[in-house]
Amino acid sequence: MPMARQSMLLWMARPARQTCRTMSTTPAGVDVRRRAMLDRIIRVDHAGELAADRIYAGQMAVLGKTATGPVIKEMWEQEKKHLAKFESLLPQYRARPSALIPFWNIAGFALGAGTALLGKQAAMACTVAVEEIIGDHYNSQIRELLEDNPELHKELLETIREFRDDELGHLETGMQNEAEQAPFYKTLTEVIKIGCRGAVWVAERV
Amino acid sequence: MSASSIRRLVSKNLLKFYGLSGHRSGLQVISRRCSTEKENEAVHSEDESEFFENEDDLKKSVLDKALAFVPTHGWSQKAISKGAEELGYPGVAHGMFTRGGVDLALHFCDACNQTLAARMKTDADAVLDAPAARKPVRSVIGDAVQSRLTMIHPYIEQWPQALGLLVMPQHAPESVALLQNLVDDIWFYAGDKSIDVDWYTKRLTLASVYVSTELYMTQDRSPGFADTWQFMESRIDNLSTAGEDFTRCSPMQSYTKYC
Ligand SMILES: [Fe+2]
Ligand SMILES: [Fe+2]
Repeated sequence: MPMARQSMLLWMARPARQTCRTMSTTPAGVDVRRRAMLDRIIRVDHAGELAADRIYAGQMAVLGKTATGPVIKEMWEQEKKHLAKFESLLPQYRARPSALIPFWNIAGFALGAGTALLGKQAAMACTVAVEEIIGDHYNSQIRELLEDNPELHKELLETIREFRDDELGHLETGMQNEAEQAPFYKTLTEVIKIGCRGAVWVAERV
Repeated sequence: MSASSIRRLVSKNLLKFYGLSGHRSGLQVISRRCSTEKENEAVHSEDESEFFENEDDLKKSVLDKALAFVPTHGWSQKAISKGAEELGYPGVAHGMFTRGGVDLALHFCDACNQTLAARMKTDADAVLDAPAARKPVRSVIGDAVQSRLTMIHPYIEQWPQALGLLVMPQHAPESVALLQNLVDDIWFYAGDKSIDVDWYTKRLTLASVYVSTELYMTQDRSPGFADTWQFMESRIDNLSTAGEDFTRCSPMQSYTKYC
């Protein structure tokens, strides 16, 4: 789809959309910066929740019928809820979606299925690594939003806080399900964490 | 320091900056404003248009006035100077608008975009109250493009000149951003909720419809621009039939407000 590619490049170069320009009472500079921040936050979170949804889908594809199935299923259900929320926030905030959506989709599934193939413990180690990064990531967004304007971002802050707690719950579940007994636990989680940090960096921009 | 004294300071400095401190008519406007403001706040709000809190407001007012001179002077520094004179700030134009006509053309595009967005917002709000009156997405899009292009009609003779300025490489980033804002507004108020590759293709295809119709319009001599609207409809039809459904879009309930 050459047209889509062209279009994506054009739109990525565009500064964040400023909504309600005429109604805004704040100075233009503050407004532009705030729009850019929200644009980035919503885009990366949506991409992240999409990837999380695909990770659990990948794990389910491999481990769905085993004893671990219901544990994964439970976390997956929460991820679906997270994803649906950000799918509605994207148009609400008029944020540009990540141009790499198809990639996050495949990469998430591959990561989930790939680690699950190494066994239940490795799947749980993957969960631990991913959720640790996502938890940190949500925490830094909360700080950023609080610094900017806690009143204005009240709704978004509530959402992110709730999701962060869910993610840390997943981390806990992973630990309880023998994540640390995975083969090469340290190396495996470190590699995944580096990958996640890179993905966050990219999704904020692309 | 009160708000009004801050404003006074800003305005004075602004005039100084543009070399106007010695200019009588400019100062007169300011000093008159200052005294009335001190005496009576109500007068202030009635007559706000003449008092500028910041450079942007002053610039916008000059350019708004300048539009009236486009049919005679084109998209030029001359038209801007005339607008500034009209506003009581002769001479301000040279220091403020260093790029000449393109500033005026960009301002016009932005103002039209905002007018259209406000109009579409009103329509979208009305539909929220009366969902039965909802128009199909395709006609919301078509109407929006048509009404945006109609705003150019008073300047149609000078529009090729404006386009020439807008597409110059050094101005392209700004004019492309304005085009992107325009199509983003149209899709937003049409209720678009796409979150994947669709988001990009919808915006690009609409931009291409807009730009090609705009170019067609500059050459169109048919009464009431009938040929232009026909051309526009066929462009939208082509898009709708070219595999992807151009106007596939969730209904109006997705129109949400964030202000
Ligand atoms: Fe999540
Ligand atoms: Fe999670």
